[in-house]
Amino acid sequence: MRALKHRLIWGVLLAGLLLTSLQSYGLYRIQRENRWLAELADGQDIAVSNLPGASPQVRLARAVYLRQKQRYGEALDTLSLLMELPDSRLQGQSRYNLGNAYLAQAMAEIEAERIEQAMPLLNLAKQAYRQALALDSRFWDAKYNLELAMKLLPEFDRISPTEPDDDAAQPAQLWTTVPGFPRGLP
Amino acid sequence: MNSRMPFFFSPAAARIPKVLRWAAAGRTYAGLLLLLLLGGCSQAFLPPISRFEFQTPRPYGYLIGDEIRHRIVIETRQDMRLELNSVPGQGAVNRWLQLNRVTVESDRDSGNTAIDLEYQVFYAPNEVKMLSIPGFSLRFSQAGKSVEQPVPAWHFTLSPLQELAIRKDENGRAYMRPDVLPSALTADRQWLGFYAALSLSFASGGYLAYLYGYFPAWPRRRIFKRAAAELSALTVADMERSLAVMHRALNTLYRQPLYQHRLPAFYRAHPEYALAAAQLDWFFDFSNQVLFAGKQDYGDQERGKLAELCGLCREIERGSR
Repeated sequence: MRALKHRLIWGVLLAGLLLTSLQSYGLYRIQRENRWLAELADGQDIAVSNLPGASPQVRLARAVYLRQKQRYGEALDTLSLLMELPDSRLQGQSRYNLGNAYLAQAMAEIEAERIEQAMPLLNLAKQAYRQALALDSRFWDAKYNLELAMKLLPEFDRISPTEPDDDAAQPAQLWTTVPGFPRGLP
Repeated sequence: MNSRMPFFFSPAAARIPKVLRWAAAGRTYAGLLLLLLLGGCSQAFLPPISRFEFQTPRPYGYLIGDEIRHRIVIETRQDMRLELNSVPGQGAVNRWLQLNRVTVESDRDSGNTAIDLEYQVFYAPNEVKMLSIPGFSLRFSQAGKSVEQPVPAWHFTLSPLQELAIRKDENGRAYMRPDVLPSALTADRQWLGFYAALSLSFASGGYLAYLYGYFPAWPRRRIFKRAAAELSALTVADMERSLAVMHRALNTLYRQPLYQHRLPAFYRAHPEYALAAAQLDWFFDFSNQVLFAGKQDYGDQERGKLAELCGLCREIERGSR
């Protein structure tokens, strides 16, 4: 019994040391990833080899960096990996940033007067913002940008308190929209 | 006349013709029967839906993406059942309205039903605009028959977030809100885990250090440790000193001189040392022969047995045996 107790104390010591090592590594990892986040926020890229084991926050920050550098394809690829995160806050932020990537691309197309190319991008942006708002209805920036996207590509509506909504039975017909890009007062 | 007796059985009634008396009795019994029927079937005379409440929030001041919660409370007869397919399903109601959550709670005993509906609006008005959430009919069934309860459309106003003219940024593009940067990772949980693991390591390590006699403040945990160190420095020629070292260690542990005849009392005081009983018996016999009978024929084997005894006592001392 004394020998068993003695071995148990050794076991507790080894477990404690192992846990201490693991927690120390966790702290080091958090510190390292916070440094990467700061670098990305300052406009400096990080090595792609760092990404596979990195936390979703680092990937999200890199997607922001890529969009700022107008590397839309890479930004979209990075964001698409974050769509199924269990953390709803982070998922909402990813979807919002995805919407921003589509909206920025669409505005670039509009500037170049390629309206046809801009339309599907605007629809994708609206969809991403709606998903972000479904996760957090008080996401003010998502509300603002969704409204902007809907102004750039308005959807026909026949909604009034007195008349029935013709589209009530056909919610999926988004392509019945008429493109319009108001540049000022109507 | 006995006041408790019915009129048609009383002496006064005897003066009334028999036919009339029987007619009066029949009317009384028919009345009683009708009352019993009414009492027994009172549930059947209740309206199918006795209470309908449509609880709605303020009908103004909404913005794009806002959620609107409706609650419908209905009280029906106990035998009525809500047909769940008459409740709007989760999903898109129309192009700008999404029904995110539907919860139905029914209490069959009381006949109460509460329906919670959580809508989300995705409409971008250019100015304050009145919209309406479409009405629907709830259907209840009872024995193959159905009863409908209409839920009215609900009107509310929605406001824009932006002015009509699209705001431009410094580059002349439409102003949009920037990307969200993830917040820095918090290490609170890791620090907590680190301190907990470190405390565990220190506590168990400290206890082991105490058992192994690494703290000079507890000399009684290092009696045989010191003895083993002294023995290792002595040779066969120093056998008498070696025996003295071992005796001193045992005396210190026992807090009084320990002789062979006191060994049973020693084992009662320190039962863990009973494990070394055979070796201790040999030690006392050998010690008597060397110290009092002048025995000289000993060698490395005896020295080794003495060191082995000291090592065993050391293991017992630190708790590993």
